[in-house]
Amino acid sequence: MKRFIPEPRRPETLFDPCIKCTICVSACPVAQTTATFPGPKQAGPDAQRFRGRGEPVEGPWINLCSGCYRCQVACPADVPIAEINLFAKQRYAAEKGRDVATELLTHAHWFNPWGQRFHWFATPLLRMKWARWLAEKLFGVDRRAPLPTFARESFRTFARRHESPRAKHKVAYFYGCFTDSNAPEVGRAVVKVLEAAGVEVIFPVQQCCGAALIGAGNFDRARRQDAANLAAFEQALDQGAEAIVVGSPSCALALSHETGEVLGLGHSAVYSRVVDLFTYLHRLDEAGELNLKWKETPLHAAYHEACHLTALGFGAHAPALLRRIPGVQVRVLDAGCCGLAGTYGLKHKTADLARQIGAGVARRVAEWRPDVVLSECEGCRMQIEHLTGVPAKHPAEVLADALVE
Amino acid sequence: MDRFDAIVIGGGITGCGVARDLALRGVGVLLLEQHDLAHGATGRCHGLLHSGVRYAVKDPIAAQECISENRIVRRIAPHCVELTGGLVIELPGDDPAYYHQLRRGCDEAGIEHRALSPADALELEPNLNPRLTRALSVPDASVDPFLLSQENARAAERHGAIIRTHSAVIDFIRDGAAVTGVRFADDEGEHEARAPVTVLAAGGWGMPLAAKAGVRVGLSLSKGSLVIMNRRFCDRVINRCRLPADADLVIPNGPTSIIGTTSITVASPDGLVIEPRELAVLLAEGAALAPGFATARALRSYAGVRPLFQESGDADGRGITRGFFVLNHATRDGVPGLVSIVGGKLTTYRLMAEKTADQVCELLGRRVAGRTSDTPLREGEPAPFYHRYERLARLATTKPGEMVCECEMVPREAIRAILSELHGRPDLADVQHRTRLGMGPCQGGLCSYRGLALLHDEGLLAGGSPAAVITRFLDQRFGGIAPVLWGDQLREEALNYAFYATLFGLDRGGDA
Ligand SMILES: Cc1cc2nc3c(=O)[nH]c(=O)nc-3n(C[C@H](O)[C@H](O)[C@H](O)COP(=O)(O)OP(=O)(O)OC[C@H]3O[C@@H](n4cnc5c(N)ncnc54)[C@H](O)[C@@H]3O)c2cc1C
Ligand code: SF4
Ligand code: SF4
Repeated sequence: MKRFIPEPRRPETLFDPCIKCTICVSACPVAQTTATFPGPKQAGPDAQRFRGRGEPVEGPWINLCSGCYRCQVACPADVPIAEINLFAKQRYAAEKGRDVATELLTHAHWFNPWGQRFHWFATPLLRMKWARWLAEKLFGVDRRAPLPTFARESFRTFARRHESPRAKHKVAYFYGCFTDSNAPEVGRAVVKVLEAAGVEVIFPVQQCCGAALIGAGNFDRARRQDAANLAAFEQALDQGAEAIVVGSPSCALALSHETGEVLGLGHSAVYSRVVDLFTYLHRLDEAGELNLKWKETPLHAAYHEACHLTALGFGAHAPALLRRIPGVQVRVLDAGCCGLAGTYGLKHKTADLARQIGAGVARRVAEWRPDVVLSECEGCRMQIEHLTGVPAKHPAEVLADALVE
Repeated sequence: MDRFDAIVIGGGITGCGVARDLALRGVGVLLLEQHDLAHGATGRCHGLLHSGVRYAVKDPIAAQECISENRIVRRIAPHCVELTGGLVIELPGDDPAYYHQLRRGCDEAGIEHRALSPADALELEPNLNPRLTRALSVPDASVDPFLLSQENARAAERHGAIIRTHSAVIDFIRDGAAVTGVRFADDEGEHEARAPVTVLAAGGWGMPLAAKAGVRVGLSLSKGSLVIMNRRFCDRVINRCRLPADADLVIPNGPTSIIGTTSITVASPDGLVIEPRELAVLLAEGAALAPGFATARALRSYAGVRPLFQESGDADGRGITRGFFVLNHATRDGVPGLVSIVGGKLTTYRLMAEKTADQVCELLGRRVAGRTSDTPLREGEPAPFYHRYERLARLATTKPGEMVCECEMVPREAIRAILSELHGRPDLADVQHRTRLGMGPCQGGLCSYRGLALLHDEGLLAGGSPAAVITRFLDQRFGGIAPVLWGDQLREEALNYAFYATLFGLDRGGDA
C-alpha cells in the first residue's frame, strides 16, 4: 500500500494501474460471502471507469463494501480500491442520502457523552429486548447486533486529571471515542503500559477520528473533525511528542491515511508519525529500550488481527510481546475478517451478512475455546463476543495487568 | 442465391449505408465484406460525428454537408450517437485570427456556436489545459462506427438485403466490357453472384479491385494513427482552435478517450505500422489539450487509411478534398454495370449512400426516391445499444460468472444476442465489434477464454480449432497494444503473456 500522500485524490484518476488480476476478489470477505456484491474489482476500478460526471448512481450495492481494506492490501498494483469505494459511497450518499441507521451510528460520538452521563439508564436500556426491537424498526439498528456499554467515567475525564511523569520519550495519545465513552479501561491500560515503558503520555484535545463518517461517505463532517484533530496533533509534535500513538487501528488508519488520501487534508507531518500502540512498543524494543517486568499470568488467549491493523502496514506486534509474559499462551486466529467493519455489523441491512462473514472467526474461537480473545479493534471485540460469547479484550489490558509495579 | 438487383462490395459504413438505402427502395441487394463489417477505415476512424466546425474555415461545402448530416444521423440513429457536444479551445500560441475566421465560417455554414469563458469551459471540462484562452461550444458528437455500420446492415437485412461477411470479392464477372457480377471466396470456397449493377465501396482497397474491371480510380491513401486512453478525460469532443493539423482532436468514446490523428501517405491499406514519432506527437499534443494525458494509461493504438480521391498529381493528405464522388464507370470509362463511391466521411455516409443509390436506381431504370433521411434505423424496435451508464447499472443484476468481459461489462446474454450474426463462423473479433468484448484495459486478457468457452458451449466451435480462434484474437489485440507497451499496459500485457503463453502454452502454437 502506498502511504502518506497528502494530496486529495480524484477517484477518476485512481483505476489506471489495475491489471485485472482478480487477486482482490479472492481477498474480499464480502464477495466471498454474497453474490449481491460485485466484488472489489468490479465495484472498484472497473465501475469507476464507467462512472460519469452528472450521471445517476448505479445502485446501492456499493454500500455492501464494508471498508475492510483487505482488497487494497492484497492488490499487487497499488490500486486504492477501498478508497475508490469510499468515493463511490460519497457519490451515492450525495444523491440518495443516508439511512437513519448510518446517520445514527456514524454520529455515535454525539450521543456517547449523553449515554455515558446517563450510563445507569443507557446501558441497561441497550440490553432490553423491546428497546432493541424498537431501534431496529425505527432506526435500522440490528436488534441482535452487539452494542457497547457506557462507562461510569469517560477516559477524557481521567486524562484531564492524569499527570504523566516526565520521561525520556514522549508521545501524544489518540484514544478514540470508543475508549473514551465505552472502554476507558483500555485507555488506562495503554497509559499504564507506556509509562512503565518509560514514555510520557500527553492527551491533546481530540474529537472522533471520523472513520465511521468516512466509511459512510460523509466526508464533509469528517473533514471538519479531522482538520481540528490534525491541527491539535501537529501542535503536540511541535511540543516534542515523537509519535502519535493510537490504540484503535481504525482510528489510526483514518488519521494516517484517509485524512490525506480521501479527505484531502494536508498534514503530512502528522500522517507519518501515527503508529499503533504495539508497533510503537516494538520499535522501542528494537532499540533495546523496552524493559518491562512481568508477573506470572496464566492465560490462554486467541489473538485476532483486525483488518485495519493489517491495512496500516506496520505488522501485528502484539502476539510476540504478549508471549513474553510468563504463563500467557497466545494463538493467532488467522481466520479472516470478523465482519463487523465499523457500522456494517450494526446496521440491520448488513448485520446478517456481517455475521456470515465472521463465521470463520467464530468457528475457530469455538474450536480453540480460549479464555479471552485479544484484538486492538473495538469493533472486532464486540463482534467476536457477540458471535462466540467468549470475552474479548484489548491486548494492552493483558499487558497492564501483568506488569510488575 | 446468385441473382440480385445490385451487389455492394465493402461492408464499411459506406457499403452498409448503400445497402440499406437500396433495400429501402425495394432493390434486392447482396453486400459482400471480406472480413467483418467496419473492418476498414470505418472501424479505425475517430468516431467523430462532425459538426462541420473542423472544415468551417477551409472547406465551407464540407462544413455544410457535415452539419446537415450530423442533424440527420442524430435523428435516425440516436442509439449510435452520444450527444456529447464539442468544444473548440484556443491555447496560448494558437493564431488568434483563426478563432474569428472560425466563427464566421460557422455562421456561414449554419453551425451553432457559442463562446464560453475559459472558466466556464474548465467548469464543464476540468481536465482541460487550464491555460486555455478561449472556447467555443459546437454540436459535435461521438458516434460508434461499428454499431452504426451494423445497424445499417441490420436495417438492410430487415428490408430483404443479404449481408455476407468474411466473403472477399476476388474478381468480376464480365460480359464484354460490362460487369455482370462478382466472384467471391469465403471459408467454404468460391462462389459467384450476378447483378446488373455492382457498387464498389471498398474504400482504400478500391484501386486494385477497380483495376480488375479495367478501370483506374485515383486514390491517395493517407494513414491516420490514434491512441486510446484508458480514461475518459472529457465528456465533450475537444477540438484545437487552429487549422486542422496532427493530433488536435480528443473524442470521448464510452469509458475511454481517443486522441488523433496523424496523416502520412502510404501505399496500401493493409499492414499499417504506427511509428514511434506518430505516438510522440499524439501524446504530446494530447497533453497540450488535457495535461493528464502525459501520465495516464494508454490502452492501445490503431491506424486507418483515408482513401482520398485524387484525379491528378500528388498532394499532401490534408490538402486533398474530403468530398465524395460517385463514379459511373459506364460513362467515365466505358465499363457498364459498375459504380464506385469514393472519398467522403463517416459523418456524411448517408448522403453518400443516397447519391450512390440514386445512380444505381437510374441504371436499373427504377424511379424510387430515397427515404433514409427520415427513416430511423430502428423503426420501432428497441435499440440494442446501451450507454456506459446502463452497462454500469447492469452490474447489480448480473450474476457472478455471467460477466464475460468485466472491463467493458459485457454479460453473457449480450453476446448470445449477436451470435446469429456470426453466421456460424467463430470469431472473437466479430463478437468484439458487436459488444466491446476485449476493448477494455485487459484487452482480452480475461475475456478471451471466457468468450471462447461461450462459443464452444453454443456449438460454434464444432470442427474448428479453439486454439486458432483464441490465438487469432489475442494476436489482433496485441497488434494494437504493442505500440503502447509501457507503464501499466506493459504490466497488463506481462500478465496476459503469463496466462496465455506460459500457462496455456499458446505461444508455441497451442494448436499443434
Ligand atoms: C484515421 C481516420 C480517422 C477518421 N475519423 C473520422 C471521423 O472522426 N469522422 C468521420 O466522419 N470520418 C472519419 N474518417 C473517415 C471515415 O472513416 C471514412 O470516410 C469512412 O469510414 C469510409 O468508409 P468506407 O465504407 O467508404 O470505407 P471502409 O470503411 O474502408 O470500408 C471498405 C470495406 O471494404 C472491404 N473490402 C475491401 N476489399 C474488399 C473485397 N475485395 N471484397 C469484399 N470487401 C472488401 C474492406 O474490408 C472494408 O471493410 C476517418 C478516417 C481515418 C482513416
Ligand atoms: S488486485 Fe489490484 S490489479 Fe488486481 S484486479 Fe484487483 S484492483 Fe486490479
Ligand atoms: S474494502 Fe473490504 S469489503 Fe470493500 S471491496 Fe475491499 S475487501 Fe471487499
